[in-house]
Amino acid sequence: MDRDAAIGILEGILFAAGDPVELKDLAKVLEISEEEVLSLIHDMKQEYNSKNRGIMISEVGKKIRLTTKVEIYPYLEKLLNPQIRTQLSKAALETLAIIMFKQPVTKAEIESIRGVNVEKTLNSLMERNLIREVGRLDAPGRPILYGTTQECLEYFGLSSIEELSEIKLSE
Amino acid sequence: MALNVKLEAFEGPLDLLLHLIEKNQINIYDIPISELTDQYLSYLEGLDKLDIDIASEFLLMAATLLSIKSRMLLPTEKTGDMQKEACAGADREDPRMELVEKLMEYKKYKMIAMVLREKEEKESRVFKRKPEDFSFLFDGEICLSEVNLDDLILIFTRIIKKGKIEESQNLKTILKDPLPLRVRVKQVYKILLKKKRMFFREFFQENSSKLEIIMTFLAILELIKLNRARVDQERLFGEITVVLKEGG
Repeated sequence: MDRDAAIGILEGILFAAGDPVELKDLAKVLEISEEEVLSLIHDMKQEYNSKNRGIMISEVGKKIRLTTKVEIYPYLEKLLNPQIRTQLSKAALETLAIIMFKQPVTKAEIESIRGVNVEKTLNSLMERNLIREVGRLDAPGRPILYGTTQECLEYFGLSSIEELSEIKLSE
Repeated sequence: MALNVKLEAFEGPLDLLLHLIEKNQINIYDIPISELTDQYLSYLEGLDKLDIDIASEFLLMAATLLSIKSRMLLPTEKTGDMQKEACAGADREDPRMELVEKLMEYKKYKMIAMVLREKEEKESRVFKRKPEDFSFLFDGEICLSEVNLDDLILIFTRIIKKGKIEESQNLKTILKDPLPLRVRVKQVYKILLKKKRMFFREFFQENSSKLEIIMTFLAILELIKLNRARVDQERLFGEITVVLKEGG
């Protein structure tokens, strides 16, 4: 397929979907490999980078999405007066950070790192669908193992958790 | 010295320790444990009231610090000069090592949390389109093959949440009180006028409904308030006697 045509199709699909679209679904409908889709996405990113575009394309986990650019926000704010969604608490962020890198991880392990009880924090993270139960540890009491969700990547706009570990290593 | 910071400002004892270490520009691998313990304890003392749940975590750390301090003082431990050169993992004998490792690990996640905060802020300034409603394309048939448990849970909680909001906006019907309090007060007072004195339990029949019991109880309270009756109880859990107050 013509590369430009494929890019146009991708753009159309992402616009219509709104929600992030699975990479494998894009590959399926375009009848090309996932690597080829990623290469097209790469090109699109470059194109959208130009100042005369207000939208951008980004990867969140194994999904691709189309959003506005951060630079557009001040103007949208003027236009819509949007309410900034409530931020996660410091406790929630620290707990998430631990789960991200230690998953699958038990409550006890998280508590030993943070030095505080995390029961409430875990519950609120579960409610927000940022973490989920991924199984049980084969140990006395069979404690719940926690892991992060796709929504968690989307919440922070992360392509992967490794994206964060680069920061971690450079520290 | 008491720090002028609230307990809530710290995400736990490790957070407080890191704060003290940074504030005093202490080398984390060579912590003057005695000084740090003093500061930590005076901080705890400086708090007006301790929420026991949170405090227990802070107190545990205080105990750990004191334990390390006392172990450092033991003469058998001749680490005097080595302490200064001690670096990560090099001196396993150093009683501070475990704490240092914990602090370093916690610090790492604290840094990641800060990065997450930045990402969160950036993400909140990015807008997505609402997904198009494609349901008209499907002619009533819905494919569920790729739906997993997590999806179902997510959708379920969304629906429940939405339902809750709508519910709270709905008007509620209040049923007419089948046994108004003032009616029951009159009834109880009449009984009491006749009997002058009776046990509290005698006001109820065995098959009394919960509402009746509650209303009777409230009625007696009301009569006491109106100075028409008084109650006596000889001992704890003993029989309660309701007595009519004559000419009250």
